[in-house]
Amino acid sequence: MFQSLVCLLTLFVCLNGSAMKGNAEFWHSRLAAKSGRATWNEFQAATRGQFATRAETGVETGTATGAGLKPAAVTRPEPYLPTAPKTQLSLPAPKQPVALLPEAAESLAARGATHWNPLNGPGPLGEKLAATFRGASYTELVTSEPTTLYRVYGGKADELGPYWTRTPPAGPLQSQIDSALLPQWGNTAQNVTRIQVPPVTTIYEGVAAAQGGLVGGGNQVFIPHVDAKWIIK
Amino acid sequence: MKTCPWEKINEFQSYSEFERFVSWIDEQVKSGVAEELLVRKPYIGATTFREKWYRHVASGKTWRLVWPDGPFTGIFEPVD
Repeated sequence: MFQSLVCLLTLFVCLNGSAMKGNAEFWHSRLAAKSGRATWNEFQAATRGQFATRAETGVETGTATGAGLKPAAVTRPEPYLPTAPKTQLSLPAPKQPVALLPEAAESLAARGATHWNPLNGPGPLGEKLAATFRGASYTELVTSEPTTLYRVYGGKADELGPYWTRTPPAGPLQSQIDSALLPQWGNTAQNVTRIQVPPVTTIYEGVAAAQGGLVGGGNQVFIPHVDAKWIIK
Repeated sequence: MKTCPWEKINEFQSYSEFERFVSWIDEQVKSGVAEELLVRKPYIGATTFREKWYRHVASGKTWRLVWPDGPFTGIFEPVD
């Protein structure tokens, strides 16, 4: 009786062991056969229904069906790309658009460009400064992007000041003519400084008025506040 | 209270004229006729101009002097 029980138990263990072995061999051969020789899509197609994709599960491992066994670790094969470079290029994550605060957007929309001339008043610059623009006409606007401006200086004129131009200077004499810089004010215009005005900065732009025989006519930008950090070296 | 004898200069004719005026106002301060104050509110709200404020002691009236920066020709005017 005891011997019969031992025989039955031995037989059961053998049969079950061979089944497990056969199942493990199945997975091993399947993975080994596919690894490195098939594309990822082929591998996925071959194992469809037995492995959930990463998108479906969010994990790397899958569950084998039928035999009730779970592979200890599943190594996902490298995709076979004969011409693929060995090193992967890492691209920066795409920048998300910066959303303006509702108050700021509303403020910008409300503060569109305003044209000032003798008909609607001297505007925020007052008569004296408005007269430095041809016809006392200028546009008040808020920059929407970084804006590069130039200023000529030297002699009595400082590097930073309220008057700038969008036009790159073409020499001291040309700058003195275009910007109507009379010699008696001592600006030798021998040096040039360049700034980048940040967005959302209020500027006043127009054409330089004539002064004392100098015709002016160049682009002229008046900035009430200039930060020394805006200087481009 | 005495009236202020200073007059507004809406426009200087040259930088040398402006420099002569600066020398004169400095003398006024040294002699005690005027005193220099801190600028509380810049000319048209622009900080890019160089500016000084003076108070005429006898009248108590405050004035601003804004340095010329071509094509702006400078100004000397009472502060409202």
